Amino acid sequence: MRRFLPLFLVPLSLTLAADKKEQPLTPGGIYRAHDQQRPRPPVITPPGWSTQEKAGTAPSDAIVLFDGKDLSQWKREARKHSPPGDDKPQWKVADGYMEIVGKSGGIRTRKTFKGDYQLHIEWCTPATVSGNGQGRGNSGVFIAGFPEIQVLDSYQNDTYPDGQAGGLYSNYPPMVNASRKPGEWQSYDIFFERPKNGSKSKLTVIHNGVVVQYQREFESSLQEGDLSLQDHLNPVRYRNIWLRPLRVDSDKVGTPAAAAKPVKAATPAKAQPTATIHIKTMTAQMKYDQNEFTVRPGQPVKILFENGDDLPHNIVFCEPGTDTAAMSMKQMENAEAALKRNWVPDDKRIWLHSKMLNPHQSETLTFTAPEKPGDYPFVCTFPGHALTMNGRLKVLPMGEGLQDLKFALYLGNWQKLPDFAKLKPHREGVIEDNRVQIKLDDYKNEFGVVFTGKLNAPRKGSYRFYIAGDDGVRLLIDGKKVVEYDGIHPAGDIKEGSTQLEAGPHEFRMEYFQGGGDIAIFAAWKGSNFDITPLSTWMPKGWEKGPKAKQQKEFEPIPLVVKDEPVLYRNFIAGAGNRGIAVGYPGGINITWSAESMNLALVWRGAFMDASRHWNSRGGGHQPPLGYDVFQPTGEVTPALHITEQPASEWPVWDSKSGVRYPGFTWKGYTLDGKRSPTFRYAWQGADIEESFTASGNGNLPEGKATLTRTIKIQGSLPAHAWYRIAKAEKIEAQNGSFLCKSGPIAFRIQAEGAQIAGTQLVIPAKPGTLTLTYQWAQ
Amino acid sequence: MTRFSLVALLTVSSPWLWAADPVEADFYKITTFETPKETALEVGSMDLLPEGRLVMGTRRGEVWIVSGAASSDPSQVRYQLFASGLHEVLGIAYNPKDKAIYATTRYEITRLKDLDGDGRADAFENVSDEWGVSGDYHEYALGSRFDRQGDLWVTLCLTGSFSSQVPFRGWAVRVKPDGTMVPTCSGIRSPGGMGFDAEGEVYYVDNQGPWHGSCTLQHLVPGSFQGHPGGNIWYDKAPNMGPRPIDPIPEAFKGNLKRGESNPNGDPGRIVTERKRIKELLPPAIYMVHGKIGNSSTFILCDETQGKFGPFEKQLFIADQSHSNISRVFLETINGIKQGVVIPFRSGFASGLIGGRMDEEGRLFAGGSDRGWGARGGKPYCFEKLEWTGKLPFEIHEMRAKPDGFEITFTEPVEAKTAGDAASYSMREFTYAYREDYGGDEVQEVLPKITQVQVGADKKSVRLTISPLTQGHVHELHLDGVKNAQNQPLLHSVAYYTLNEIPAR
Repeated sequence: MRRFLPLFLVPLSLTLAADKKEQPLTPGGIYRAHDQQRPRPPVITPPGWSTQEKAGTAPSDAIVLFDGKDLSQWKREARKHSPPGDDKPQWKVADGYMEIVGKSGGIRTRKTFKGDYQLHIEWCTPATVSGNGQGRGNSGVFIAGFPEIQVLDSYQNDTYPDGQAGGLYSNYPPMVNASRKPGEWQSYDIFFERPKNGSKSKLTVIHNGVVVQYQREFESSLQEGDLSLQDHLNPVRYRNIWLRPLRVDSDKVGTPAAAAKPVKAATPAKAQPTATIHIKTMTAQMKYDQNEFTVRPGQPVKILFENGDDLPHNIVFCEPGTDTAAMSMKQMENAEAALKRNWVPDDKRIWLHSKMLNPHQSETLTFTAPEKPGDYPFVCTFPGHALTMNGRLKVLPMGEGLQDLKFALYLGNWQKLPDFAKLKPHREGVIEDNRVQIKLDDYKNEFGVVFTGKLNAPRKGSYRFYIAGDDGVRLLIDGKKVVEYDGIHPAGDIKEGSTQLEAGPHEFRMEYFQGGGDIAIFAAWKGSNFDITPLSTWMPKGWEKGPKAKQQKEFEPIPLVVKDEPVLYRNFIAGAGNRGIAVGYPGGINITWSAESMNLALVWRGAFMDASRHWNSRGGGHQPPLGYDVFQPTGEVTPALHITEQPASEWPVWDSKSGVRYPGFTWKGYTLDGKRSPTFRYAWQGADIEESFTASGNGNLPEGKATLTRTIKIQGSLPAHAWYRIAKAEKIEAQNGSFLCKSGPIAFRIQAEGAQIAGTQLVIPAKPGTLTLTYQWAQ
Repeated sequence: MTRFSLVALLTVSSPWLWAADPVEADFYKITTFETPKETALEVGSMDLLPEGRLVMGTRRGEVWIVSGAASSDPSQVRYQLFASGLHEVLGIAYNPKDKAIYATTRYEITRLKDLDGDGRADAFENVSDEWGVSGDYHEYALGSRFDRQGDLWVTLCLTGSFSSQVPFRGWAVRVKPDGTMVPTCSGIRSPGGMGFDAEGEVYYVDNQGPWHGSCTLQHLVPGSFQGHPGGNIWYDKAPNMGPRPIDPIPEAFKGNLKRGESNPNGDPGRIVTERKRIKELLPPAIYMVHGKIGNSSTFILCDETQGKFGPFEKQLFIADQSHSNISRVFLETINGIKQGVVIPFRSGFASGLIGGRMDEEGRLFAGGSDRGWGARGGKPYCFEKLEWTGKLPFEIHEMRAKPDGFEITFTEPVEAKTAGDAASYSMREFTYAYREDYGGDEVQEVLPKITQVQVGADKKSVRLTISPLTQGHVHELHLDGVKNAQNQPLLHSVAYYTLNEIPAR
């Protein structure tokens, strides 16, 4: 936990405690309504208006395709009878427009453009009308993948409706005919939406400010393409062509809130200093480097979040009481939508989150701590990370101080605190600032002080008191001793004691004596709804943590990093009994073999193992895998082979207490092949069995198609009714030649030729030969 | 704080200031090796390989092959990782017959072979895994080197070091070359190391705890009961062992309170009396006196170098994890029972010693760690070498029990006047309660009289007549006044003799 240096002696919560009404989350579940922290949309220069006389200007974020000067963005698309020449357009450019030179060929952009975009284009048919129907001012705009958007003089010029201006040629007529007179400039604003998963590509056309085609859908897979303008022999003019992205996600490209500098609100009476917190994800450990820190209500907070790991991680802050693991898990119900949201759950309880940081990226989050005290959980919502990557942001105010504080000075030479009640005070007085302190210039040695005052408990409950002194100190509440540190000693150690208090004022009494040398006295208290709060002027170093941090030291993780060859780790591995042999294969796929049950005990992906439990102190206890999506193919420490006529029901169950092993099995050990990959060997019922594994795909990424292939070689003969159990799951179903095994949140796809479902078991008759199984995570 | 006056110091200067008393380092030199950066080399076991190399097993489950450690230049040491990922290697043995390395780990003796000759093990064959493992961290398995029959011995710590929850916890077992496991002795509590004497007899050290007032050196005689009854429930799984012995009385020393006995000063169940009741019970050969010799005995080595390690040929050298030291043991057999003396030998190792081995040239290699149990050395782990400098220390050489006292021999002649003066000696006798409670004080103190002192003709021995001798007691002898010809005191002037048997006249 980080501590905050500035100590405000007046509880700030008083000035900032007024609870603001909580605003609802806006769509996307990221920002609350009216959230001042929301990134500011980019500022652009809007387009300049076009008039009949003069083309307008393009908006500042547009790609200009024609600004009236040249056709450098375009190339010629020769017609059959076009005159020879290079690919430079032969259209005329004059007075801010281009004009079709008949037979020279259409023009096509040199670049392609990815949807979704908005295309603005202005056109003008000849003022001098000649021809009829399709022969009058005919040209067209082509967007790859769509029918021609017809350009035609459709002012009082009848033709087939799906071929008039604003029509999608041969498909849809415009909704209305919004044509201007020939010789007048008209505009198209065309909206191209590229096809996305499950949706078609769409086109919208606005003709002279009026929608004439609205989200017309077409079967096209083109995500991007070029544009072309048709040479239909008529001298149609074009001007002011530009294109800009249709969807701008201001939350992504906007200016961060801090830099946005909102209009400065009236400065609060006492600005709280900014709490700066560094939080880092640790390499290959699925952990943040700290899982708890405390800030004051309403305090400005800056979190420097650094992803030190080789996997993507974020940090998502939620409302108190949020089950972050369940919340993260829930998004997997619709993984596709979750992926689109970059794995930030659509959950109203989220009030702040970072981006999904790629490995070794950083992000700074700046925000104001919630006004409401409480434990605000944080979590990494990347699939499979939430169980280990979590923590809490504690929002805790300071408590109240003392009132009516008085002192009584006694003179004497003591080794221990005397019974002050039997002594006569030498001097008495009031302490104006109500903070325990020794401010007696005339006495340096051999005196004692008794402080008395009132302390207001905000609610009924347990309160903890902390004292330190040089020399003896004792603290009493309502005449009852709560904590004492008597005798001659330096001031370093903090002692603590606790007591139950009713809500309301209580008698505070603190006794102190000074033998000789340094003078120091410290008192502080802490309640269930406020943080440790000093009651004295002087505080020893590290007082915020109370007495020396309890020896509940978590060991520094010792991740076993798998590089280019498998890593083996034999130890007590949770879920694999007492004779576990963990193997981490390159690519983030891991197993534990059990030399107890001669079976694959665990499969997981991501990081391998953390050895810190076993390589620190005496190394007691079973260590779970470090990665995620842990799967126990057949339950805890159960063999794969068994003789039964009831493969649906009769399988051995492990008795962890007895230490008795399954009869009929002999463990032989393992050999490592040229790639240091183990082959496990054992014997059962007279047959020699070898099992080896290969890993493919990338287990560090949920979509990495991680696959474990298991090869079983059985030599010798086996008794009748011998079965090999591949898996046991809550639900098994055959699907497209494989088996989907689901247990709780874990789903596995297993391929095993000849396997059969027997109740909740996936089994196969055991016989000599080779058996190949593949295991794939199904999420 | 005490203040020194320089003037006072100069004026009281006497000859010893100029010729300081010898210290351990004058005779036995410790060399500390650098260890591989990529690991914490928590040495748990050690054996010799051909061509002057060593093999070391570690608590982190690695097996390292070390070369160049014999060189006088410590920078010549080279490490090669032979295997990793084993479950705490607390026994390692090289078998010259099959050229394989045998690692005793938590639940298995594994035979490691390098089939493709690339210097890394690629075959890990199970030799024996017949003992139980419950998942409790304290269920250590301490393995030996090969004995003269080609067997490996394993001592199996109790579950939690208190009881036996799975088969053969609390036993010493032998594993035959074909992998057969032979249960050999019950009564083990928490072993710290195994070793052999010059005759090939097998010993292990046990730790202070229930039924053990102190760490002890115990002689593993097949069929014997080593003192902790926790493992006795497995006799029915060990038909070769015969019937289960009767259990010792839990409150033996105090008297059995359930039977209404309260006898705090008597000794109805001290180990001597329990030995009479329980015929299989073998008393500790040596009490490694708690807090004085050490707190946590570990490896056992025998000097078979015919003088290359100094004057203590065929004696045992027993390390201590907690005190980061090595003590010296001289054993004799009286009435068929091993007993003898333990004498401090060399302290100042860098960490808690756990694994060790002496080569034929008298180089004692030692290593260990302070993990989980603190050690005086101060370093988290170490690998070191102890060598005799060639200078003869003035030490007790041997101490033998006599019907009426002890005979002590020295490494060099004593100055007859001081050595012949009874005032140069003092003796204290005590024992530990043999009882179920954890540990225990030194009790039943006897302060005997040294009635006669006789210096041998060659001035290299002294015969002490003691009254009384107490069977079963540790006889703590101080020889503070004994000097050599150069008027130097003994390098170590205390010896603790465990008197299981008093020799007949």
